[in-house]
Amino acid sequence: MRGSRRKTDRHALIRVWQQTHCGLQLILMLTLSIVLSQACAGNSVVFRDVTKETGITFRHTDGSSGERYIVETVASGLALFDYDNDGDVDIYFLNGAPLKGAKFRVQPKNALYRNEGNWKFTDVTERARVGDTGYGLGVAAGDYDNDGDLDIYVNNHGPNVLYRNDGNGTFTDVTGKAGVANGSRTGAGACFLDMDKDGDLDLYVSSYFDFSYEKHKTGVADGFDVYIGPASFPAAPDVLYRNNGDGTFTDVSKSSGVAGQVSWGMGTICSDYDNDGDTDIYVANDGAGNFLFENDGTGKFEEVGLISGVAYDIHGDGQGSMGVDCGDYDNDGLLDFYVTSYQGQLATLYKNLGDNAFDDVTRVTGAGEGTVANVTWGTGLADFDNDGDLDIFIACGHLLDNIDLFDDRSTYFETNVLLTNTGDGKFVNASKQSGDGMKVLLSSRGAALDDIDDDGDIDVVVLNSRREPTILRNDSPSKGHWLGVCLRGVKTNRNGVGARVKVVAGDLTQIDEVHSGRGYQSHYGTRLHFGLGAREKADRIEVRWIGGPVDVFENIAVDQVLTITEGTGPE
Amino acid sequence: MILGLIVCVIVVGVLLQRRFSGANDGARETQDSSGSIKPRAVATELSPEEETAALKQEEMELAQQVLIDFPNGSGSHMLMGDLYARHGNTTEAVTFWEKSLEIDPTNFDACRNTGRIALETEQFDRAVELFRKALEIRPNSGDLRSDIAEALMDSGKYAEAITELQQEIKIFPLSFTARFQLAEAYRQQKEYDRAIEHYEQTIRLEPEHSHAYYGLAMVYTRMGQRDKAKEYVATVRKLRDKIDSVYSSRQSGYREYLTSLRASVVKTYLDAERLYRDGGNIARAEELLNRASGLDRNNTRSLERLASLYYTTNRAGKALECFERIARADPNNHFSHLNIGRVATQLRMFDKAERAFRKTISLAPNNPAGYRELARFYLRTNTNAARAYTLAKKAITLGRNAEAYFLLGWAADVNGDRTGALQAMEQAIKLQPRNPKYRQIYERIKKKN
Repeated sequence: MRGSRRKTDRHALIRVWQQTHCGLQLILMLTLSIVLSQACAGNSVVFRDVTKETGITFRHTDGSSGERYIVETVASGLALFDYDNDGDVDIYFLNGAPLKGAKFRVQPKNALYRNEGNWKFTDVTERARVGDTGYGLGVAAGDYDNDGDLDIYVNNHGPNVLYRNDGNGTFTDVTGKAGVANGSRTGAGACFLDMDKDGDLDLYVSSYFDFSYEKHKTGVADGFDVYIGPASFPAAPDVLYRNNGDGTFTDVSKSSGVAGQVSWGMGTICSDYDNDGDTDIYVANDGAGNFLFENDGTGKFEEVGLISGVAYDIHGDGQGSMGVDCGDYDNDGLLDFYVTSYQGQLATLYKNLGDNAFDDVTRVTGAGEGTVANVTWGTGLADFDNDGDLDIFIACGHLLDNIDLFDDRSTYFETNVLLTNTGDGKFVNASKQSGDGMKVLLSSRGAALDDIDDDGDIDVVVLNSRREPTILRNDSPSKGHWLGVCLRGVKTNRNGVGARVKVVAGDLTQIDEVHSGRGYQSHYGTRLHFGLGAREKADRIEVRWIGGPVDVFENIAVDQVLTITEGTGPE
Repeated sequence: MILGLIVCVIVVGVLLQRRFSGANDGARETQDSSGSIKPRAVATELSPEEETAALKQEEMELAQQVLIDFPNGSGSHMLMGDLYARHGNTTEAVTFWEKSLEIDPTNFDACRNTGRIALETEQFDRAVELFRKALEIRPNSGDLRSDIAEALMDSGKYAEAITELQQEIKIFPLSFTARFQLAEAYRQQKEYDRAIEHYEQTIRLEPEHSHAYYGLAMVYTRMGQRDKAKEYVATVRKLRDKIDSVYSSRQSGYREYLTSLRASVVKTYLDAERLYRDGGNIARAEELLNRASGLDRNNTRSLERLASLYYTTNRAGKALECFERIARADPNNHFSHLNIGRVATQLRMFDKAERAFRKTISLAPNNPAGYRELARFYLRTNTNAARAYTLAKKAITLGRNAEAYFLLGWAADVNGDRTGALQAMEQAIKLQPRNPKYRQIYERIKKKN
């Protein structure tokens, strides 16, 4: 068992006592704390904006020069993962790069911040050698070489990059050797998955479209120059790479069946939607039907998005889909999908019916509340208040930086949205009652969720276009117990990507999977988190390893992070 | 009398072409206008950005002037609301529409437009309330019940939506929108057999309705008939590919935008013109129409309105010029040639009139109007009675109405076919029993030996 932590009382007042030495400062902060506590009293989820306290100085650029290249609108994602295996979650921000005509005194690059604990971070980009200066769009972290540490794949506008983690705090660019540069396309999401259950991670790389400066064009809306939509450019095919097990990959897009479908790919997630023991692939497409590639268990796929009901919304309309996450929002043992979209469209919740079919239940569940006026991007399902059901976080921000000039129903800078699960399969928009963290007004893109301070609740990091990120500390009044689950594969892939975990605690049964690449072109949640409410122990935990055995454990104490190694008991 | 009839026909013809929804009438708004038109946008001299700014300013200044001239007018507030809505300012649009509705509680467009904004902003109860109010104003308005149903379905009230849609279909059995919505409502209610029935009817009415095929695919999936669902999925893919190819080739640059902006400005001018014209300020109305027609030479609506104004103010020569301009701008518009023929006849420009009617027939060979008017022309000018009779007979085969029978009777009478004349006139009277002209002519033919 590693890192067992009782959830501490993190009432704001206590924190003030711990951190303050100056009397005047104490009084001021005490007053502020009381005001904030009262303002949020009775709310189940409270997020505090702690960005300025973290030491993170990263500032995103979209590389714009005023020419309005479409790629500027979709940057970028981010990753939360433990790069140095020290037990806490670090942050990797993707950045844009100067586009034609843009000039920067300092070359923008991606940035890796090491988590030092207590909400302090150190920029280790140079030391770790992961400061790619390409135009970063999507990212996934996965241990592709099964050496026990997480590697990084960056999906760029331009050649992609695979950073191999050397296990000593540094990375090596092995893109050329691995053969995963993927030409020079405009990328989107990326996911590691073990598609053929052979114990190593394969790689799905989504492509947005075929863009070049020669093909560039802009549009006009009410007399104002605007970015043009993706349909003005030819869609580009996604690519699936099979891991050869020797540090190289082979493009199997055609033989696997995914090359037969081409669209404007954005966020992706891989999960076993049909509970048949293999990993399927969901691709959110911008302005066209989404794809759901069903795996036959050997790494051959059939596109079933349309027939299963996840390609379009309830009326059969294609959405400007951006990001996608999955989770069992109603605890019925089936993974559901949540997909973000363009202004005027609801972010959509697809309920898994269990017979290879989904229903768009957005309206009936309230899962689209607060989304229709916004362009919605990063998203994730997580139990923020540890009450035993999944809530939804949605990053918002228009892609047209001048939208306010000709459409009074939306704004470039928007607050993000938090939907809390009421426990009966419905959601309520709690954004306005959930602390100052939900009042940040920026144009967000990627969002990533994890327990950054290891205190037993899920925090949020948001990448904002052209601005500093937002770091949200979960300061919710403790509502319940929790369990973290960290998987260690032995014969299967090392981080258990694709493994299904079922936790039974009294009357509550929850499932989750380890995903590598999810949301809006981001990565998070390698360590699974289960909120348990008042249940004081987990009666049973089942781990179904992808391509491996099913391990079962009983009577597990809660409020801890449990590391489970394939074929053995929990540590 | 015949000449009078010709004038009547011309006026009716011109009025029929006033296909503008526009601002509410504001019939009692009679204030004098102030502020002459100061064109700001001269396309040949300005960059697209400058022309855009100039057109927007001109449109706003016009709307503001209309509000000054008609401060208590429902139509003037409607006009301003429409303008704001077209430029993305829905808050102001709703404010003006609500004011318009307050002034004239029977303003259907204001009510419906406000309802649509409520629907788009997810105020479903408010939307239903406004749509129902609009329905009270115009009980048989098409698609309103569909709007109500949409708001009800979005708020999960499927049973209520079904009731609305059944009523809509009863009134408008060919409405594929209502059919589709009904199918959707039944699908959500899991009444799959009914959903299938209405999806299939939707497709019968609109064979390329991809959403209906999608609905069928979803229903058959839920019913476990996956092979059947796959057939519909294939059709959906085919139809969507077709739609996508249209979208991908669509341009959205300044050229396309300026076209739409000019159309917007022209609409504001036309709405304003109606207010001034109804208020009796013909000079101002004429001024506005002249500016509107100059703004967009390809938009013939303003010329049609200008022709109508000239005609009703006894300036047939200028009306003829307008129709000829329309014919040049839109050479395949058979209505413009029809009107040229009618006005030229009145102006005794017989060669021009005959050419115009012949052109009408060549452009619209299946439309009875050209045959009818050329027949009338030959009868009136007494130049080719036999041909007139043939043309009148042809017109009847294409469309049976009182006026067509009247012309047939007239032609038969002139050609000495008394029996045929009486039979035709009887038909005309049967179709329009209250028309004294038909009865008088019938009696006159009857009295002939």
